[in-house]
Amino acid sequence: MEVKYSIQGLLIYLTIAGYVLALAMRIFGKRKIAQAVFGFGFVVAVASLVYRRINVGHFPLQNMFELFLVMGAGVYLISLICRKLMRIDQVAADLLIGIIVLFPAGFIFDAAPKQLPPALQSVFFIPHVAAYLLAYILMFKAAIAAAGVFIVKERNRICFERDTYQLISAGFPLLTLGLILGSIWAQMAWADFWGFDPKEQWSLATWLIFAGYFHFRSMFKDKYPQANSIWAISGFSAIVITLLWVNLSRIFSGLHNYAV
Amino acid sequence: MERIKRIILWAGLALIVALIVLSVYSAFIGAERAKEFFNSIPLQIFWSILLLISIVAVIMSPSLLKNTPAAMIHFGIILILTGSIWSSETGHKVQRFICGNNKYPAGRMLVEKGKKQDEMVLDNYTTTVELPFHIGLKDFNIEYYDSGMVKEYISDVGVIQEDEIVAEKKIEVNHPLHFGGYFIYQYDYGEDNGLYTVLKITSDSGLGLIFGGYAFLCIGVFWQLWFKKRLPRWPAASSQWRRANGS
Repeated sequence: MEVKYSIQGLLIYLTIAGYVLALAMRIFGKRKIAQAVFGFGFVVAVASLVYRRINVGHFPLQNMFELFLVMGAGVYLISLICRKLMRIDQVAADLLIGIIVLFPAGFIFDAAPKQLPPALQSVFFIPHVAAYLLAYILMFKAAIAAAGVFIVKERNRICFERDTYQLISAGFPLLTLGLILGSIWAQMAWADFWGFDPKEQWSLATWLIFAGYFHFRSMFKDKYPQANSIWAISGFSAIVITLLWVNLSRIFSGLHNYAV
Repeated sequence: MERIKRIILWAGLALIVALIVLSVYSAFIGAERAKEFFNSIPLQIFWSILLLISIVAVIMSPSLLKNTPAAMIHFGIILILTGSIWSSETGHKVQRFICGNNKYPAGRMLVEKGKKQDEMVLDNYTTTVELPFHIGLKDFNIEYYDSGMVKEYISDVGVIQEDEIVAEKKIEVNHPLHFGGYFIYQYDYGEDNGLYTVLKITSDSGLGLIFGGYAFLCIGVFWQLWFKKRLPRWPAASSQWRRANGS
């Protein structure tokens, strides 16, 4: 763990501070102020992205530091879309997600700028990664709603079960798009549409778990909300493994390892 | 009929769970062994059964066929499975048997600068085969960033058939040459008695099916989950919950 004494670091810490303040306001019931501070945090997060973009000379989606930076900003947009279009109000959870993803960007991941190796210079680079990141945030929100099913009283379970279903329905197409774009890109760059790389296998497992969720839910609807939630939480766990474990551990070597 | 529907649904779920288990298992054994594992004979049987059951299940489910996007998703999956089997090593053996086309799944070719080559070593490293065309290397270049990191590897090649150049391309990473049923990729380079490049050459068999399947799957999933009114607009669940709890 190390503190980043740089403009980049400062912008990240300012965003985190904004999100923490907004979360506190939200918990104390000051919804309007919380929303305004959340917006302020988002603006700083975007500034931090723009700064990074100028600094490295390519869209910052190359390594873990940049991915988490983008997620820290993206969570605001997802939060907005969910509230306005889907009427799912989870702002406290969104702020928590923002803090969770920005913390490693601020204190753990290496921010040394890197140039794009030949394999990453592709039209698929941005859409493949961006689709996945947006899907991951939506599935994170879904997992939080799914966990709610276990916490609340029985009569309220159905609400959280429906929110989970809505959020997974929003995220699954993006998950599918990310997987497909990745496969087409692999055909262009690595000469094979499927490389059996550990990260690929985990991403397939993730996709299949959510596919299993839809099959299970189409069979039983909301008859077993807890079972539906277990599918959703398992899917999100698989995402965490795909995103972190494979990259950070030295156990599995694979094609995606440059992303560390 | 209700009974058949239940059996199909449970079989579908069981196959998905089996695939989840297989994917997770294969993530622990590394890419090379995973590839061998998924191409082994028991797994070949599994894929064939999976494909067969998918086709039967889709045909036997009138409710699925009535729902256009859902039908597209499942049709896409069937195309992807078919294409994957067709593109595999065994698939190439089947092609040779059925269609008589003599295509090789994948190999590597070394071409020296200023020379041409039509022999490639297959991915098993032991067999050398002859392709129906020659590849000539006009030039090979490496571009660098100011920092000294490699920016691009570029092989300037021409495809020669019967002493005539029939295709030309500067092959870079992410920009392969597509010719005669093969994709030709930049793979490696070196210097011996002169500069040479190593090209990876893979068959394009089955790719049309796979990419077509991707299109069906992708359109179907977005249609079904984003653009279809599948449920009446319920009051926002979380706000409903807040009301119920008086906050």
